[in-house]
Amino acid sequence: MNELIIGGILLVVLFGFLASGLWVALSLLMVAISGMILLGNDAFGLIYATSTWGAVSDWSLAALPLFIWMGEILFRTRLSSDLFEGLTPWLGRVPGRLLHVNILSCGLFAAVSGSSAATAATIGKMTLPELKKQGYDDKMAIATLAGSGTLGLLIPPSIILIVYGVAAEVSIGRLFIAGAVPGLMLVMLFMGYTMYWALRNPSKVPSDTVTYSWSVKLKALLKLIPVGLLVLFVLGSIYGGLTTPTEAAAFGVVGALLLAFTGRSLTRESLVGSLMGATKTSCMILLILAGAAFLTVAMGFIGLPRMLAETIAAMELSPYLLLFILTLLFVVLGCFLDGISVVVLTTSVVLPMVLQAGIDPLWFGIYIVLVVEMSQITPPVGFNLFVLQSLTGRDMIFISKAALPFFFLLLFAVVIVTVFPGIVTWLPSEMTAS
Amino acid sequence: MRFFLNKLYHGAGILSAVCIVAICVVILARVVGRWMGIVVPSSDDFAGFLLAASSFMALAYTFQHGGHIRVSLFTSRLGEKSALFCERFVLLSASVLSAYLAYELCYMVWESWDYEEVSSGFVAIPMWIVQLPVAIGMVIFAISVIDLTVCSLLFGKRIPLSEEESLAEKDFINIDGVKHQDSKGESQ
Amino acid sequence: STRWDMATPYVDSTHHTQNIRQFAEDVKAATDGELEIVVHAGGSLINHKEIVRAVRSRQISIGEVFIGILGNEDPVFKLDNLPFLATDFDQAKKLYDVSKATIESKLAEDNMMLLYSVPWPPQGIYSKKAINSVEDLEGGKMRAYSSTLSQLSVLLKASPTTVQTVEIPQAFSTGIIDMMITSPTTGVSSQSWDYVSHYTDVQAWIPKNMVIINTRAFKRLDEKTQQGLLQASADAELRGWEMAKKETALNTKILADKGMNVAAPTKALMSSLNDIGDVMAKDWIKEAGSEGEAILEAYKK
Ligand code: NA
Ligand code: NA
Repeated sequence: MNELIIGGILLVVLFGFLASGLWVALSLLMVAISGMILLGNDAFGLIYATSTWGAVSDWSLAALPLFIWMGEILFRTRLSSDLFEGLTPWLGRVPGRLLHVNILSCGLFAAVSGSSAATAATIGKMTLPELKKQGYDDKMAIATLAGSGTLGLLIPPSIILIVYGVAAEVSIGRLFIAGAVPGLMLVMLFMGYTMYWALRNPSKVPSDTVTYSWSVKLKALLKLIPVGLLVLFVLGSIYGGLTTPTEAAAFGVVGALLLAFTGRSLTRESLVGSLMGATKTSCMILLILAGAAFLTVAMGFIGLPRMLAETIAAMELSPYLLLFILTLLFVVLGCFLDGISVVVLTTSVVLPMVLQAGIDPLWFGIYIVLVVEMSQITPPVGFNLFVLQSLTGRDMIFISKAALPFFFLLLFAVVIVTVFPGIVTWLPSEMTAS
Repeated sequence: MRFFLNKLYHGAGILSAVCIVAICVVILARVVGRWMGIVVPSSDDFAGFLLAASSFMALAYTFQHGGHIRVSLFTSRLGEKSALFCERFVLLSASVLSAYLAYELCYMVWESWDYEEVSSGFVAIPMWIVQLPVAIGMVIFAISVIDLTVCSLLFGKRIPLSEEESLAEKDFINIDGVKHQDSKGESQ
Repeated sequence: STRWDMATPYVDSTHHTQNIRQFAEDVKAATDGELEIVVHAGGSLINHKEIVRAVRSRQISIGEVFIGILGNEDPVFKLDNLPFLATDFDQAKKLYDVSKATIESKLAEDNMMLLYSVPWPPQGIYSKKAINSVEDLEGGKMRAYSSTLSQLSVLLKASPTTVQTVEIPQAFSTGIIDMMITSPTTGVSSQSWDYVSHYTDVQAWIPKNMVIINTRAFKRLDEKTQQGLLQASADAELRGWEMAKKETALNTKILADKGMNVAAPTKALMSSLNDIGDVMAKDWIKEAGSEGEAILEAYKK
């Protein structure tokens, strides 16, 4: 059977099961099994077991439950309210005020974690309840988090940059450096949009008429000391050469436990509560990851992503047109497969044509990350959406609608780095020159 | 029976939590060991195996607490009767699927045992041992899905909502009047 | 016609994968399109660790693996990772020839066949400072990813440190490790000049990849197709060894061009390293028993 016909049938199966309310992970498995049956592959049961085991026993994922646990512990301490109280006087005059906490803390946490789901889960657990309590618009609180959670992928360390660096033979160190400036640019884009939104929707941001004196502002800084120490502790352990980024998650847990202990919020109850909460969230994410892994393998057997990429390769497009079509391809595939899988499934075909077109592979790595970031917030398969649904109880479709402006901001970022490639290449060339 | 099943789901959930703590301990041991020039053998393998055990042992526990996510936007607009019908269809599909997946994972463990497969890292660990929790977790998950299916068919029990979902539902009632009823007759 | 999906662990730029893509084309031509091999490179279909299992249980019919990954299954698979036993391509070929029958029989026990095997370039030492004698290795933090390498580090009085391949650059720049033993290929693909300055070409060992197939899948082919497949395999093996030699020269030159100090080992260093190699070969014989002893005797003839 033709790949496209199989793809069409699978789309119907996927939407049918999702719409009827079957759990996301099980829907993905249903689609994958249907695909293997349509293809006539009779070993799908064994292949399911192999791909599942491979997906969930991966050491690099071990950081995920630890970061989530860290978020759960901090959620039960005074740390998150301290964070907000410390920043309130400083953000008082910035339109959108505390919504920026979402963006800034995601940006900061992204320097520790390499995954977007962990970033959204850890930060969201701390900020969302507080924002809700203070009367911020739910939709925008969710949207800023969904959007800036994706920074975990771009700001180093980053799992996706490592995967790409190995496949494209681009120095991972240089890729990490290249991600820094675009990462900052994204933070500014997100904050800029949030300000614009706040100015247009003043009723959705709680009013605050207090003018803070400098002494109040400085006193507020004191409240930020514990957070600052935690960040220094974890970042310092990575950049001081004590741990690798994966291992830093364990330090995050220790740091969070220390904070909870010194803040007297470490009780038996809160400890158990945090742990069981982390267990549920990471179980939810990993079951979907395993489902997505099997779907990826099924797609590999069917050959649909590769076929699409080959079709594009055969068109022999000019560089800009090629990038345009590739973006389209990645966005569409990114709706249904997890972003990293899209890269893995298509690099064999995409990389040669990109090099052929004279596109710098270092630049292309950052481009890929931006596109994969988009895939994290497009339904039906978008890991930030899953995390936020689990955090807020709101339906995925509500969340993806809320996150739509951030999808377009990411798209805008792709346009900017395409027009001004120096944003990506300047810092790495500057640093290697010295 | 009810009591036993609930204990089973909860017990597996606790084991899963213990695995997460163990991941943390293994990684800390690895780092501290490195500072002192001691290699903790196969620490990365062990962290991976513990992650697998933790993810699958918690399946049923998470399921019972409404932690696995699904798209309920469409079904939540249905009337009481059609919503229950929809849930029964979904539960029946999930029962068949999870039972099949449990069988396949058990088969994987049996095959690893039969071929005496060992891990490829520093320490050679028999694979069936580390894969066993994954299979057991999936079996317990299948039991919990079938359990809920039976309860849905017999008593009209509804699919549980997570804490967050119940909170969010309350907002919804105020906003657009969509109403949800809790399960009737069944107390746990 | 038959379609075989083939899982390989390494990315397209390695000579192994390039050779395999050529092999797949050759097979198609040699069997008049009767057998089509679809290559899924870079672990995109199945993880490296699971490829053997997948071939054995016929989830896929054909795959490629690093031979050493089976080291825990049977000591014979560790042989080409023994340091300072076979240190040039001729020796490596001889070692392969004398161990091939044993490897094939071990694979046959699990319903698999060996099609062919192709080496990596010889392994050298990457370090932050020059290595002139074995004392320069003492107290260093050496990357170790297998039990053989850990044992070697201990014998060198260095401390073995496990670091994942992808974490190597960061581990070097933050000081978690300060030396590693790997091939010029990996040194170039990971752009090692960004984080180390010295490459000492000790040619410690020459590990290999092998291409394996499921025996039942093979038996299902008609005889003509089988012959075509075997012929293409024999060609791929010859071609692969030549590619490895070229790869070695090319990549060692790239290392030097990129400003690394590429040095041949001193006599003193080599004689100390060879002593260590003897110790490890004896340990290996203890583990592999009479079967292993026979292989090494045949090799030394
Ligand atoms: Na990151
Ligand atoms: Na998506």
